Amino acid sequence: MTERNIPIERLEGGYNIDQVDEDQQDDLFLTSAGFEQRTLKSTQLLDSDYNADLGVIYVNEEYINDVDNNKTKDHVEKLKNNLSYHCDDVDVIEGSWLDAGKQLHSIREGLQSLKRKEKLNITADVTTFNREALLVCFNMIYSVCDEVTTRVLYMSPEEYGSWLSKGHRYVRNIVGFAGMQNSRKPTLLMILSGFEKDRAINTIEEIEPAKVLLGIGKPPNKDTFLDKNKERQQLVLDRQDTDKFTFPPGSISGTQDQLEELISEYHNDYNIIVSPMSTKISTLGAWKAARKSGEIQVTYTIPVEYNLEEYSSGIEYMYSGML
Amino acid sequence: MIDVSENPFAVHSPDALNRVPAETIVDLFIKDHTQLDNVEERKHTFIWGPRGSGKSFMLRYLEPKCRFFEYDSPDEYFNREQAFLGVYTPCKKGEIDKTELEILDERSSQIISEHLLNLTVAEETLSTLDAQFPPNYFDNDDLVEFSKRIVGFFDSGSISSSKKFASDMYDQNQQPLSWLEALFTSEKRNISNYLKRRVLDPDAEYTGTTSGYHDFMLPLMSSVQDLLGRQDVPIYVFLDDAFHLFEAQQEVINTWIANRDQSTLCVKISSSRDRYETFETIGPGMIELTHDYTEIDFEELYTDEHKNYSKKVKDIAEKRLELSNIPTNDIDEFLPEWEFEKEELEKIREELEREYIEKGEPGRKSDYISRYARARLFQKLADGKTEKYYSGFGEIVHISSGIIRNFLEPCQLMVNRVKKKKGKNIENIDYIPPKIQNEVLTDISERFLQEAPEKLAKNLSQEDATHLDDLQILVRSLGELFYNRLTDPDSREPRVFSFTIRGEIPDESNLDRILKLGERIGYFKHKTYSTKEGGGVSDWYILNRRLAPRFKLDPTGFEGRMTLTPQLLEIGCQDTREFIRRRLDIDKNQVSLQSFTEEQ
Repeated sequence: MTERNIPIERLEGGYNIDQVDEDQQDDLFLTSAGFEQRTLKSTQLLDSDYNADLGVIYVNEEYINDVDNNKTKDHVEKLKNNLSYHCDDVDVIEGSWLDAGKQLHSIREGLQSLKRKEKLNITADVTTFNREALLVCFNMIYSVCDEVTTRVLYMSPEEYGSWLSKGHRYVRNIVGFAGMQNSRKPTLLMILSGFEKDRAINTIEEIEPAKVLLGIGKPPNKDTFLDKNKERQQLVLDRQDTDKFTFPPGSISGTQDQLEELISEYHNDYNIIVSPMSTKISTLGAWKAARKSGEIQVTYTIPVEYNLEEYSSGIEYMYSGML
Repeated sequence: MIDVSENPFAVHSPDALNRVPAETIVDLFIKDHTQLDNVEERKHTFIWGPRGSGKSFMLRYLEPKCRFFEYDSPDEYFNREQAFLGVYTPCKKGEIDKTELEILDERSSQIISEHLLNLTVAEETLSTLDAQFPPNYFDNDDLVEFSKRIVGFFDSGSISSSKKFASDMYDQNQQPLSWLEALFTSEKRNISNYLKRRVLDPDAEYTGTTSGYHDFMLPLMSSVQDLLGRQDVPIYVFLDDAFHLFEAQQEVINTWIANRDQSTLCVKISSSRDRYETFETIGPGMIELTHDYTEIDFEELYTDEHKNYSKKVKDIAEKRLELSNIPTNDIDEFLPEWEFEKEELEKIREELEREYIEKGEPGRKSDYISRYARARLFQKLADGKTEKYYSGFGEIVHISSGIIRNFLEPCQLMVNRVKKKKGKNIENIDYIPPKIQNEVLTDISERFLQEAPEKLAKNLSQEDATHLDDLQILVRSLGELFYNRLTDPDSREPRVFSFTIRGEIPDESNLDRILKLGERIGYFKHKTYSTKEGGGVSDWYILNRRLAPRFKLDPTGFEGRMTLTPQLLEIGCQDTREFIRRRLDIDKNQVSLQSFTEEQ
């Protein structure tokens, strides 16, 4: 199956999500509970015949324990309820977007039962995962089993809020993607830039690489880089060699191909860091490229806060594609 | 590649300096007022300073390739007094402070971190020996001997796979340094692979070799001395940006320092002060200033020796102008003051001279004039609703608040704006119009107020994050209060720019957290001073001069300190108008009390 975007009209007109293999129930339905409404959509679209051995809901403790915002807690309950009609078991993994250790340990424990399987069919709704938890989940899944087939779903919003996240606490490598650095080589930072422009600039300032390759989504997914704070951004970009490249933010394989091409061009001369900040789909493209290379580092920039009230609204289409 | 021809004020990341030729670094580096003598001393040293204060550039300047360039040859350099071999080791984000190490148990993390640090320093040492000395400087037999000796520091069985990897790539007898470097690379890969495995399997064990200070680091440096044939030349390891290391890794560095083997290995650590988290060593103990290490502070240069800082900035700026295609090398000419303000200031000075005589010559004339001249200028501009133009080299130096990058980057933007607005090429830009200087400085000041909290790095607790709004309100309250003072013709200390606190602020109270946060973000500089009444020291907070254009304050100096109570500061965190009203009431009451006393 190729990658495709199914418009909301079709989703609303009786579209159903079936199993990866129609003759066999999925091994895992993986999703995340977020604070946005679209977190529920895929479980509402499951075909009445859809079944999975296990349903896993990942949630960050910072959201579920937020006394000022009950949305996430409410969404966990709804997801549990929706999945209970389709899955033999439903587990909730309570991780943390701040504490990398807690995030890793909870995911490792929550996905342990998959170890017993020789072959896995997975449906994964990646819509409201934080990028770090998403990649750690896939690392874990693909390490416990050699034969994994994953169908990725993503609900693209109709509109984003005026801001998504603010500031940055720190930049850290995603566990499992520390990369391999040679002291003789300078650092090359490849950024898949998205809606959060200042997050990209903060990451460059924190890493202070010798060279930056700034990825611009093409076609643009409703975002344009460098439209605000242009001078500050230009100042930071001027501190090192900076080139631009384009990537398809709506395609896992397209992003992977583009990154692999760049990695092969630069890896002899630089220690490469990839910082995926665009769509979840392109983040998975980066994950595939990084896994294949084995030597590049993937980083994540932790913001100070997310816009819990107005992160996004509506759904424009659902992406569906194989990982 | 560093290039100042198109914009002489361009700033480059430390990593981008890696491939810059020695002559360019030597050309651009200004030795004066860097406390270079202290850094060159055979003592472990912490070099404190925020990013952009010039620490990395200084360490690059101390690398062998620059030393040899300046002294014509390695031997000339090594024969001088206090010679050393500098090994620049950047603590690049993510290279040593890997997330996996931070989530391992503390003991395992420390052992593997130390090994990784050792390997990183060892790699940099080999790279220095290989790339920064003239070709054939070392005898191949000596290098082979050196390489065999280093391998001998490890347990042979534990590194057999790495030896094989190195031998598959190089012949140890033909390319001994490359062979050794490949061995270190392979060891680093073993660590990397272990960390990957450990993430997936908590029971995964590390089966590779490890290395410590006494069994590897110290003998490695001693062997380098032997290779140089100079036991009198110690190896200086420059750990740049050590704030990137996490606490357990900083403890490893502190343990090296505690060993005090400076005749062989001397450590120079550069970091921003607030992000170096510990002075504890592995095991019990701490390192102590003077006893174990010395320190220099790049920021202190400004507050303690402003004239020196200004001179240093002038030298740096004029050196850059000289290397660029800009027609002038005179920075005062390139960044002129606004002529209108200059003339007004001159008139005010003349008025003040007359006033000084009329008032019976109170104190020294120069003090009288300098106390009131600039304040009167601000008052006059405010009266006439004329905009203050922040401009002129001197004013920009003050606004840069002791950080060279805060001077260079605004100038870089000014050049870019003139190029864009006036459509000029660099060779036709002979000065920056004051209006453009003012626009850039005001924009940057506003951005600093807005964005500095968002750029807060490590370890901002959820609780601290909740105080950010209060802090910004407090900074606005203070800025507006100081503006009121500056533009009040009756004010005795119009250029006040700092405050002290009368009364106790309980530790960990909201106000205490807000003030500490303000200091971390850089809105305030915190110092202490002895109270006039005697009997103790008081906290003293100085507003960052980068905020001067935002609040229309005078960045060129300050007199006196405004005393504020904790209660008033708490109001300042919530309600700017109420804060100012109450503080101005206090001023009025003081004035009435003063006139009452004087009349008696």
